[in-house]
Amino acid sequence: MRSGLSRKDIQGRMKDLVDGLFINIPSGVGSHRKDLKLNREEQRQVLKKGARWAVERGFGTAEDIEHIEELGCIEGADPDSVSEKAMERGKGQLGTLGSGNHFVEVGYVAEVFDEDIARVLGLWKDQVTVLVHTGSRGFGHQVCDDYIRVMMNAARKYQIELPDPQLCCAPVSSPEGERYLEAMACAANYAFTNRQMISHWVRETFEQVLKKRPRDLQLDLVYDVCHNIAKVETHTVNGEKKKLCVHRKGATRAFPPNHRDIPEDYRSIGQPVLIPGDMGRCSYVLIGTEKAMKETFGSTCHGAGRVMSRHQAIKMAKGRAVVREMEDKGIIVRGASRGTIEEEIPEAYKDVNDVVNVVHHAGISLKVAKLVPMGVIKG
Amino acid sequence: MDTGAKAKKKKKRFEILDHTADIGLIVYGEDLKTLFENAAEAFFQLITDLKRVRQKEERKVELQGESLERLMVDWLNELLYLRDVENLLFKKFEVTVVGEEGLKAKVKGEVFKTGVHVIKTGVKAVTHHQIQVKREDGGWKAQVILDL
Repeated sequence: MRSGLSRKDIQGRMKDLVDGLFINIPSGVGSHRKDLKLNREEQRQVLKKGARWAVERGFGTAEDIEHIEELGCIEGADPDSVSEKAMERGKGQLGTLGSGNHFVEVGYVAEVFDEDIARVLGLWKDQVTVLVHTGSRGFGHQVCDDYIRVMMNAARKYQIELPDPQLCCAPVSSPEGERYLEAMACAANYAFTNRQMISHWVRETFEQVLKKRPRDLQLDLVYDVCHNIAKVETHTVNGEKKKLCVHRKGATRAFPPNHRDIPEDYRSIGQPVLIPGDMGRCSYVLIGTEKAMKETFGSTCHGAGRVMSRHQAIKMAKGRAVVREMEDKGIIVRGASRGTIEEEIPEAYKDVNDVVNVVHHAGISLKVAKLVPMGVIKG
Repeated sequence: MDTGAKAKKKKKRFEILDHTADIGLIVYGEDLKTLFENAAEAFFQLITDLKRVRQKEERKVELQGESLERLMVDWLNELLYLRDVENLLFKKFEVTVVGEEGLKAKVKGEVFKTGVHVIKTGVKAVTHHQIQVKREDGGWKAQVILDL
């Protein structure tokens, strides 16, 4: 999200903002909003409608929808393809951040690499920004778990030899494949809804803490994009247009200018790409390119990637006051538990600057702006 | 207790396998029941500090027959499901049946309470990647990779 605020406008307020975000956005095991209870029918609507459901319920605005991949709703989602167990697991987790590398980060635009594109995206130097990273939570994991069983049997049925059972699969057009895609669309829509709700609570927190009205804050969504999803798309292969199922895992979509799946106001520049770094360095906004379409099926990297295992990171953080260290660097961090903060220490990740420079020079997405964190909440 | 039994008791029950993005468990057991019990304990020891968890709630787990590898993944995923849905942390595991006929177990633990319990590692899912359940040195050994 971008804002109408300059970092000077929130000077000295970051601790209050982070505390407010931590209260308003459920993070960590078992926490959820007491004011949110969904019955089964509402839950089915979430899976079918995605972010649109959230907007209908007052979470965010209709303009947000325009800036979400697939308008916040993957077509073909069928709740009947989702198990009772997944419904049960997803029930209490909608509108929660979750643990691991999930976060909400308040930062500012530290550097602009392409003024023209940044202008179209509404980004400018020293502007306050907010990044939200979360997904389909336990719901998505249960869908995955359920369909792994289906796919293990399907792989046998279609005589697909597997080097590893986790790679079990079925043809996209088989009954098993089709049902999975209906369930996966439900999980994607759950994730769009989840982020939409959290974005709404980010706005509420800014309003409460800074005592400002929405029109003064102008916390608008720049873009919302998935980074672990299979999509049916049209690509050119050996000079021929083909309908393909593109699975982006550890990757994100990076469509070029003039692609019809890009929001109208961004169509001339390409699709915004968001690449979060670790909590101590920075994150990037990039833009999709024609080269990505030609070379990587319209894809680019989605994050820095770990260089240290979680245990190594925790061992390295032992005896250190990580939260204090971050504070000394001007970054306020709050997490649901010490362990989840320690395993996320900056050294545990590759330097996102290096990673982004690689994709920039490869031309599969181009740097637009660099965001530096000021406050982070972690699950 | 004779020395043989003592030596057996001291034998390593599990260890943690370090991966960059994920984490693995290597689990040992003199028989299949112990192997599955030890796997569950290793799993929850990774998630939380078990010293702070009391045995206040009991749940029964019943799983259908599968290969031992699939059963191991299903077992841990079932416990993860209960943790997610009911917010339970488990510390005591009693497997009464395990094999081709499936798995039956009683598990005991407590509802997660902020301030009392800690979450050391957030486990997202138990995977089938490089899964192993096999006989070794007269006992059993399993390897499970977790998605964090």
